[in-house]
Amino acid sequence: MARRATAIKDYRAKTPYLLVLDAGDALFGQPVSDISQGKALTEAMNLMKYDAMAIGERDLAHFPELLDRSREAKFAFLSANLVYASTGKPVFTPYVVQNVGGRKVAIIGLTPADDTFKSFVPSSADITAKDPVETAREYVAKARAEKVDAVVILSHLGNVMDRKIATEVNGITAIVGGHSYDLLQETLQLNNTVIGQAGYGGEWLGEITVDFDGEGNVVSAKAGVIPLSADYADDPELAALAARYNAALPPTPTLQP
Amino acid sequence: MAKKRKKKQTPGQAPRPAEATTQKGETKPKPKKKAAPSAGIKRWIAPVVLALVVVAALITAQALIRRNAARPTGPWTLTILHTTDVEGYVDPCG
Repeated sequence: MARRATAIKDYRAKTPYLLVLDAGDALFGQPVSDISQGKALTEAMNLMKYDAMAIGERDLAHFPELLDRSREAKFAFLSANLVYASTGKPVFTPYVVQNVGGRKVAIIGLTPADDTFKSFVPSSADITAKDPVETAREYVAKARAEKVDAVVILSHLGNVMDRKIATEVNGITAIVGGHSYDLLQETLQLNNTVIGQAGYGGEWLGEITVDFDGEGNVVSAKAGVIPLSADYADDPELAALAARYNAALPPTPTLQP
Repeated sequence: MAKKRKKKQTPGQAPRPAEATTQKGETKPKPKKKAAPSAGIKRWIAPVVLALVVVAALITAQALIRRNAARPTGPWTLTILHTTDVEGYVDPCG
């Protein structure tokens, strides 16, 4: 996490057209994050100035605490297809249009609607998930109507669904994927949509670059991953945050001889 | 016998009002209607509304021009850095 922060800072110094995104299942899963009810990762992502994250099923398992984290976050918690079953209203922000160095980029969040979703979401939560492909079609059209320069899908659907959406829905610039733990080291492009996914556990940082000409057309796109090796020094602020949350952990019980 | 003579009008004296000479039963000319206070306001509504519409149009046009001027043009490269399934890890190298 501390190395990731350094890498992100390096990129910020290089380009004004930078988005930092997380494709979901970010906040919970380890003792340090679960004891803090997702606060440790929310705080870290605030410091790294993330722009948005998608809602994954493991995040949803901590509903409604997740709503509290979404209020504390300085970045958007996105899901266009999660709605309240009783009212049909969105549970989280469906999409945002970010100003990226003066350019308008729409980011649309998607959450799995299959059995994975059903097994994680608390039954008391009154939440249902709409079909991701139809939802993507609907929100890409909405975003394009706002004359944006690019449309990014922030997907926690897995790589198979990402490929399906890229093939069936026109007008998507890039899909930032998650859920299936795929480490996509080579560029994958379908129907003029570039797809990326950065493994799991925060050991890699995914990188997607899309070149536009003066008319706004995509001329080339690349996707890959950056291993967060020792080449990146620990960012002191993030290292201190990790140390603070680790110190709050109860001592690990030891076995008696 | 002294003749009854018509009183002569002296110079500077205002002539007797005509209605004073009218005979009983004749209709008096109606006094001119005073303009209602609302009529004055009505006369101003159209120009004020027109002026407001013009000012609003100017402000909108200016905002649009500014927005387009602020929006960069020409080739550009979007860079997206991304993570996924971090699952609460704070410690690993990432």
